[in-house]
Amino acid sequence: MSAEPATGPGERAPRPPLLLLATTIGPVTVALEAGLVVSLRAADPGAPGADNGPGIVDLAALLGVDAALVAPEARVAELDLDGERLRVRLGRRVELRSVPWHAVDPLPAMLAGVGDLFLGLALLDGRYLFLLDPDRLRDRAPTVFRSNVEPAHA
Amino acid sequence: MSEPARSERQLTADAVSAAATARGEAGVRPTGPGERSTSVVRIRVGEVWLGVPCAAVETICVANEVTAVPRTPPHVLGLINVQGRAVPLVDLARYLGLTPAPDRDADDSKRAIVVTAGEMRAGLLCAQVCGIVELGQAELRPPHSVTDPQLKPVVVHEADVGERLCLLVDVAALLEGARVR
Repeated sequence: MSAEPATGPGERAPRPPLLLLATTIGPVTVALEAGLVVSLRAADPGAPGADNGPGIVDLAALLGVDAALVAPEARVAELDLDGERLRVRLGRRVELRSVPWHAVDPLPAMLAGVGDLFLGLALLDGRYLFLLDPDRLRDRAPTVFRSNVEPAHA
Repeated sequence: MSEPARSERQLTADAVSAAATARGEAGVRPTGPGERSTSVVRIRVGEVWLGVPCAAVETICVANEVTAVPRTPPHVLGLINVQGRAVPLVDLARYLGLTPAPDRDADDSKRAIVVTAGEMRAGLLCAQVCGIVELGQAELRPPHSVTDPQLKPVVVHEADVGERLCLLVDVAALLEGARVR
C-alpha cells in the first residue's frame, strides 16, 4: 500500500522531500542526494593512494576551502552513479537532512561562475547548504579510481 | 501563497526616505518645474559617499547571518537571506579598493543595500546609509575627481550634496564587474 496521501482527480501526488547527506567542510555546508550513497565510513589515515591519495574526490580541495579550516578527521562516502562507483572525501561531520523540493533554489545569477558544481541551494536552520551535482563530481574524479561495476540490482 | 516573512531588521528604501524627511535632513531637495531629477540613496563606504539610484534599490537590511560560498573571490562575503531569497553579499569596500574608516566604522552591524540590475541581485555592504537625495540634472557632473582604476568603471557622475562629494554608481556595471565568473 502506498504511503503517499490519496489525491483527487487531476491532482498530483506531493513530491517526497529530498533526502540529503550533508557535510560541513570549514565554513561551507554541501550535500549529496542520500540515495546515491552506497557506503559511509571514517577515512583511513594509513591508506595512501586510497583515502588520502589521488584516487578520491576531496571535497575540501574541490571547494577551495583553506586547509587550516578543514578538520583532519574525515568521512568517506562511496557513491553509485549509474553503476559507476565514486569515492568522495567529506568533512568530519555528516548528517542526514530532509529538504522539501520547493525549498531548493538555483544559485543567484551573480554566482553563475561557481554554479557548475552545484544543482542548487537550500536554506536549512538559517544557513544555506549547497547541493552538489554528482555528474560534475564524476567529471572531476581522477580516472584511475573510476571503475565500472555491475549495478547492485543487475 | 502567503508573502515571505520579512525580517523586522529589514527596512525598505521608502522607510529610509521617510525617516530622513522626518529628521529634516538636507538630503531631499526639490527640483525646478520640468527639470529631470535622479533619486539616489546615499551610502558611505570607508570615507567615500556613493549614490545608488533608487530605481535599482530593492531594500536595505542588516546582514547578520552570512553563509560562506565556496570558490568565490574575497569581495563576495557569502549569501544572505532577504525576504526568502538568497542574495550574494558584496564587500563594497574591498571590491572598490576603498579603505575602511576605523574610527567611524566601529559599529559591528553589517548594513547592506540590496540592488538589482537585470537578472542580477546583490547586497552591497556599506558602513552607513543616509537617506535619499534628489539630484537635478544640472547638479550632475562628469566624475573628473575619480581617478582610481577600480572606482572609475562604476561611477557615472559626481555631485555635491551639502559639503560632501557624492559619486553616482552605475549599478549594472558594478554588479557585472563583481559577479563570479
